[in-house]
Amino acid sequence: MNRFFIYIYMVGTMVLISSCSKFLERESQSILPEDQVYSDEKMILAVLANYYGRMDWGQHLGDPGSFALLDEAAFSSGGPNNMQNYADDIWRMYDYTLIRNLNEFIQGVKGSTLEEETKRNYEGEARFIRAWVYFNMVKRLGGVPLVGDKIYGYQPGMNPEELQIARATEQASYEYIIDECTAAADILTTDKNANSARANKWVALALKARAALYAASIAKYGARTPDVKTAGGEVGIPASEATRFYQIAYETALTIIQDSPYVLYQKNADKGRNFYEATSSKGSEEVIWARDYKYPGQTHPFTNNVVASSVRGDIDANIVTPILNLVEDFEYIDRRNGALKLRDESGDFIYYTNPQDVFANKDPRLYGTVIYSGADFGGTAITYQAGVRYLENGEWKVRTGTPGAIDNTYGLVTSQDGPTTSNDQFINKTGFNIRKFVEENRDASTRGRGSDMWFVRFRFAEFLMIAAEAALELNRPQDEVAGYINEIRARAGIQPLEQVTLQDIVRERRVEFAFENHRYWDLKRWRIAHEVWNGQDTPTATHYVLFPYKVYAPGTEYHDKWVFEKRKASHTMYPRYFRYQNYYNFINQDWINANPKLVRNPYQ
Amino acid sequence: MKTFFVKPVLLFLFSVLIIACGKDNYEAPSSMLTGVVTYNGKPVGVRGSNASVRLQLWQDGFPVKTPIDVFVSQDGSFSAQLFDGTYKLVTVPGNGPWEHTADTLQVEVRGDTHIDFSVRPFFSLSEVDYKLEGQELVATFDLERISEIRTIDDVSLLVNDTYFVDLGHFTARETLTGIDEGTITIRLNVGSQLASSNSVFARVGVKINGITEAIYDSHVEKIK
Repeated sequence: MNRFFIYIYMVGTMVLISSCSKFLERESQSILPEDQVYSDEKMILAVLANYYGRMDWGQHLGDPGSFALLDEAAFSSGGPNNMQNYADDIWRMYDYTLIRNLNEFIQGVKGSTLEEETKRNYEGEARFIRAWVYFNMVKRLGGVPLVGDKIYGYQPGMNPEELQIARATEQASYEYIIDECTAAADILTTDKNANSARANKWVALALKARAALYAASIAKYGARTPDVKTAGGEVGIPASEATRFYQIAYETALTIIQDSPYVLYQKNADKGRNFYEATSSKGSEEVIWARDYKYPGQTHPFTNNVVASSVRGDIDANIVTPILNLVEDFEYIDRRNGALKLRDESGDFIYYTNPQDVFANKDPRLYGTVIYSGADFGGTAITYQAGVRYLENGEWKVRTGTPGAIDNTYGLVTSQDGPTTSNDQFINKTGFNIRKFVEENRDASTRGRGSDMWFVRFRFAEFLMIAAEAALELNRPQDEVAGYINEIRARAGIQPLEQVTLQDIVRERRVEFAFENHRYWDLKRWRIAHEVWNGQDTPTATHYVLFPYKVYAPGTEYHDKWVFEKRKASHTMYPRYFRYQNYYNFINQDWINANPKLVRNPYQ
Repeated sequence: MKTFFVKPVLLFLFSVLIIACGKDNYEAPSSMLTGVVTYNGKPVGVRGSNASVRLQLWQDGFPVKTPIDVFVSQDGSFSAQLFDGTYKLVTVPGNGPWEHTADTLQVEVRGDTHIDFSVRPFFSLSEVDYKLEGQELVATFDLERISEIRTIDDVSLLVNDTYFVDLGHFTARETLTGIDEGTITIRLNVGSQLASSNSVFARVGVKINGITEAIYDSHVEKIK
């Protein structure tokens, strides 16, 4: 009897043990192995979406303060900004984690069970993103290690030197980016996609044109900064390469202009409004690639941070506001000098009936980029008023007050939209607000919701500008060069140019692409950043603001008119100072410690 | 019974922790290396603010090399707190207003050490004299070309209301361009500075083409 139980016990145990093996060998319900991910299009999209969300570098809408570091806008909330020069690691990025993830993605997709054509398209998309990551590293650091498609792994006992790759030359790095874009363009679809959020053939070609233009101008203008180079070519491109790179940029830009489905946006007859819609409405047929956002879930604080006081939806406003330098670089419709007419020949103020009269006949793109006094935003007219100018015993005096407060004699003294020179938070200090990429929907300016306005990375106008610049550098006929740039100027609504110089291109790009993360990189590749931002009290390095005053002088012809004062920005303490060492970020010491083959950058 | 037992154990654990702390702390570096950047035995003046001009100390014998940046102050002096050992002191290409050479200065640090670091500046300033003539500050100096590599952008007389006077920190400035060598005289009206500031300091500087930095008088003159 006892033995009988033991048998039963033994059999029972065996059953349990054998069933145990199945229990332990179950497939996980929470971890997806690679072959499953890359065989399901929905999951591939989820992986890709993650990559697209990891590419916000430099100026971007998630970091409104980044727009205040150049000569487009200034910090305008709270106390003064003490930045004296650009940091050696400003906007530095070195994202080999993302490169590795992309290589894993390319390998995974290649080995999946999807249809050949689908697989090729995903491969092209990942190769474009990888080229974009490299491009962003190269424009900051010069040549970087090129790891190709290989996925590196470390096994114990392995010689780590195999994992340490030296920097390629700057030229080789740009060539790799251009080749990868060419290859990606061949296998990518030509179709547009929702909100231009994903890569297609034209996006890959767009990067190719931009990268070639950057490489070409570094080759051509490197002579302006002969010391900004390394012995091994990690920084600096030989001048002899300039023509070849300009040719690539020229041909690629022409392909986009002639064959792509994108056009200059001109749906709205109101030119100023049209320019705002071209960049800041998701229906724009001009935008080739954008960082898209979507409420709920994917939003940014840009609108909340930079909106004007009188149209804000929350407490925040005016953290970053445009400066007069940018406003004056916009031309008049028929006059190239864009300086505002503030004083007459004898140095006296010019009196304007309405605040917006001083901006009459300015380039309509000014309206689409910046909110100026008297302009509207979302249907509300915004009037900046720094104070009241009044006559006392035959002498002009100025009175300023708390923003929005009403005085018994003078009425409104200082507008709730500012500008002031106080250290108050969220009060305007420059006399302008940003319009580009700011949503008119008031909810978008609340902290809780945020804005889902996109950030434009490539748009059609850039390729007209690249064609113009490359054609100019290749000594093509002036008719052709002017033709490209005049398409943009005609759309903007200003007079055409007959002769085009590089100076004209520098200026056109400044106003057309303000707040689009172009300015810093443009000045770098032309090697003029150290002259424009020379750290001295010069008109280009110093921030200026515009203070409108309402005149209170009853019984005189001046009463209730407006005068405008140009003054140095009270809250930008130091002029912009771009040193030679800022042309390339310093290489982080930690990277060198991990990879001693990395060559240091100049001045480091 | 229980509490009687717990307290000694806690006390014991605490004492273990306190004793263990001693084991993982290194001695702080204690030797002071001080020095002056010189040309012909005289200090070379530079911009001292904003971490502008620097030298680098390297030490051989370790697998990973990290330079120690040594910042030069406006009178040309520098200092670093170091461990005893042998270091190499080098210039950083394109940083200071002097020629970069491949030669390095070997520095033996044994306790507090003082060295002269000799460089070849692009230009040298000598016989600098500041005179206040009424409200006008007049600076005269001899400017000598040392190196043929670079030219001069401009020559400035700067005044500031603090001891730090350089092209980033000044309240008034007079600039001459098209200058090469010889005896230079610069005049600057400092009437408003004398009236509004409690103290006024002056210095001359020569901005050199192609590099960020300028070369200055190593001495800052207090004129008020």
